[in-house]
Amino acid sequence: MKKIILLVFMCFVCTGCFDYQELGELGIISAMSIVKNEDNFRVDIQLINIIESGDHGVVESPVTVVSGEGPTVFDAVRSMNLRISKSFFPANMAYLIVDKSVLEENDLREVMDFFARHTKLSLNFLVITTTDSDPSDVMASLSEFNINAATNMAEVIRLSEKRYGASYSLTFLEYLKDYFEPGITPVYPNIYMHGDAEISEDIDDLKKTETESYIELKDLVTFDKQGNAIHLGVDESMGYNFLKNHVTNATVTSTCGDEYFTVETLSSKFKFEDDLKNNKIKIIADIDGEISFYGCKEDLNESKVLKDVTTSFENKVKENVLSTLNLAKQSQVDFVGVGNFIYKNNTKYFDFDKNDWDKEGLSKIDFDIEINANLYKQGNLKGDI
Amino acid sequence: MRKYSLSNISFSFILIAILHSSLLGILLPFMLHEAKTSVFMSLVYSFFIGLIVLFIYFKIFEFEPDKNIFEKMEVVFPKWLAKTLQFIFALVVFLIALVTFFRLTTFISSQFLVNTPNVIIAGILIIPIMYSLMYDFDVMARMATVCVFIGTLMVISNCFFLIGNMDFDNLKPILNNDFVHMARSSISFSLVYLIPIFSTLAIPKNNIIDNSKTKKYIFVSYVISFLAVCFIIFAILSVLGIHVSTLYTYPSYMTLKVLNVLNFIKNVEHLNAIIWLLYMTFSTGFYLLVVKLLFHQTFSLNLKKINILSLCFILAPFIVTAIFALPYENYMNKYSAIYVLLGVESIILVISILVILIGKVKKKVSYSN
Repeated sequence: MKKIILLVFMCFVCTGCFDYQELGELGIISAMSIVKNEDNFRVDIQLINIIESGDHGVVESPVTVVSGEGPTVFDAVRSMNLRISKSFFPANMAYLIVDKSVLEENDLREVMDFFARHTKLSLNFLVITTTDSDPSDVMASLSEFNINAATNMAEVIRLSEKRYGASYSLTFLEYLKDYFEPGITPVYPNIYMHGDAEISEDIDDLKKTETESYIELKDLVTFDKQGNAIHLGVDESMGYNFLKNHVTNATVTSTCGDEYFTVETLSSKFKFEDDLKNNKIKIIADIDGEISFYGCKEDLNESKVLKDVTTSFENKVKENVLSTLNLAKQSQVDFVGVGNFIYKNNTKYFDFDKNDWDKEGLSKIDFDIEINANLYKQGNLKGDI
Repeated sequence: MRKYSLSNISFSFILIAILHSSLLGILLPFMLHEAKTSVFMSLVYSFFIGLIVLFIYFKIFEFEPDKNIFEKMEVVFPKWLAKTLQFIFALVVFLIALVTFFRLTTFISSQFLVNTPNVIIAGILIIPIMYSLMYDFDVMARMATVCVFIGTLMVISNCFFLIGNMDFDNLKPILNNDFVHMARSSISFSLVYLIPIFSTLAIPKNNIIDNSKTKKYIFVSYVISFLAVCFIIFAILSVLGIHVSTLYTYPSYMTLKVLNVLNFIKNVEHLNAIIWLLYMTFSTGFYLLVVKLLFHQTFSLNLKKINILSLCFILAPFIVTAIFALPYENYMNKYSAIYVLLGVESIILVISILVILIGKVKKKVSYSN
């Protein structure tokens, strides 16, 4: 009998009712941004409004942006409770905007500490930056494609990485790794506000067939130790994604005389090999692709032409990769992770603890690139029109 | 305590559950911190050092097969010394239970119930342990079976679904730490991981059915558990990398945070944490049952009285100490704390070796007489 009483008691205490919170008491965070204003952090959070979208679409804003300031990130977040009657729930956060004002060493450490220490957060949310817009404007902007603007932005970044090859979805886990591991610097997707921020916040603007202002993914950007932005153009971004094996379907357009052809890659594998006796890193790549557009005059059915097209494609990819590596060398920021490769594979080559790899190591490395492409699909057409 | 018998497989499950209980927040972060990416090298050494510990375990397990560890001590030592060593043995097992329970409570309070007072968490967790304490080792074996089945299923499915997040480059450099660090990691692992299984000596060999095969089962359990640890460390390192994994107190739990099952089941780390909760709750219960056995041996009481006694004399100080220790988490989280644990646990090893050696000498003397 005593055992039964104990069992019944266990059932009651193990139901998790202690200190529970109703769904209505939670403020579900969909995105967050952090800006450093002099000595204080300003944190903006995008909260999801639980609304009904009826037959005539959304009539009220699906999100609310709230800001708070404080000497620490935690303080800034909690200060929002002076005006918000919700406990913040960040487990579903889609992205975090780290403003360029935070990218100095000590401030970034504090941001890292807050997010890494938070027990409710996953490690899969994206980290992005905006060099040309105010993060709070980006957060307040609505999307015509998804009721949750944050989810839309995160999907844009993920999709453009996979299908275009010019972006990179930097998850918080990757961000932590790139920050703490030697010989690599994080690369952020850079977004900006196109048009007027006030229009983009207006729910009526979504009713138009063509919206005047919206958020767009601009490029990839990395920062040197002083916090100066180094922008990667489309070619460099593509080269970066190839080198990091982030690409699934990149779109590479190359020339054949005065005309163009476009290849959609189907798979690509880049491999670093160490030849550090000669201060050299060999990069070997195997790429399979499909010719998705062919505007050249030569007949694609001829094997020589296909070979030339393949060579042209290989040269284009090589060009992209080289421009990425050159940018890293010129800016003295190893965002590609060449140093990290050396740290993992030939630790004795460079003392990462005592010396500055970006300044003393990277400039001495030469690269030998070998691209092997196989364009084995031609879409619907047998040859060319 | 009543007469019971266990099958070889049930005994193996108890061993596996006990072996896994010392991993979360205790061994895994320490090993990664000490050996860094050389942890696999350190694991190889650990395996062989572990075989020595296992050899000692086999020796004492075989000695006087119809008796439990406390009775074995009575056979070997004079009564006063046997009582003292029995008490020390039980005290060390009690301390292992405390450390396991402390880690379980702090894990839950830091990861799930952040706003709940630690006292309430400890209070809730003690209830199933209290309940299991009313039964005997055969019931514990059934609990271990459930734990191992769920745990194995979870570890396999987690490793499988984490494959997409694994980056084998994170395992490099294979050798990035000196021998001293690796040795520290190996010795700590082999001892802290294996010594708790000496608590299973509370089950006499003769209580196991078909006990001629038990040694084989124990060895296989050790190998399987060891391989599971290798898989867990492999998953942690390949997903988080060494620099991120050493940031956290519970790297194995953090690894589960990136789990994304079939692209639509996310944030399931809470569910997966059940692996550790089950193993740790079971082990705490088992250790306390061993302490309860000492009460039985010492006072020769009936089952009802033992249950009441155990609740008063074992659980009361256990709960008080566990709750008292909770605010000192920062001190316990220090990596050096494992050396204290190591030192304390080694007492069990020393007692066991003494029992074997003196027992052998006594037997020889009695044969010659």
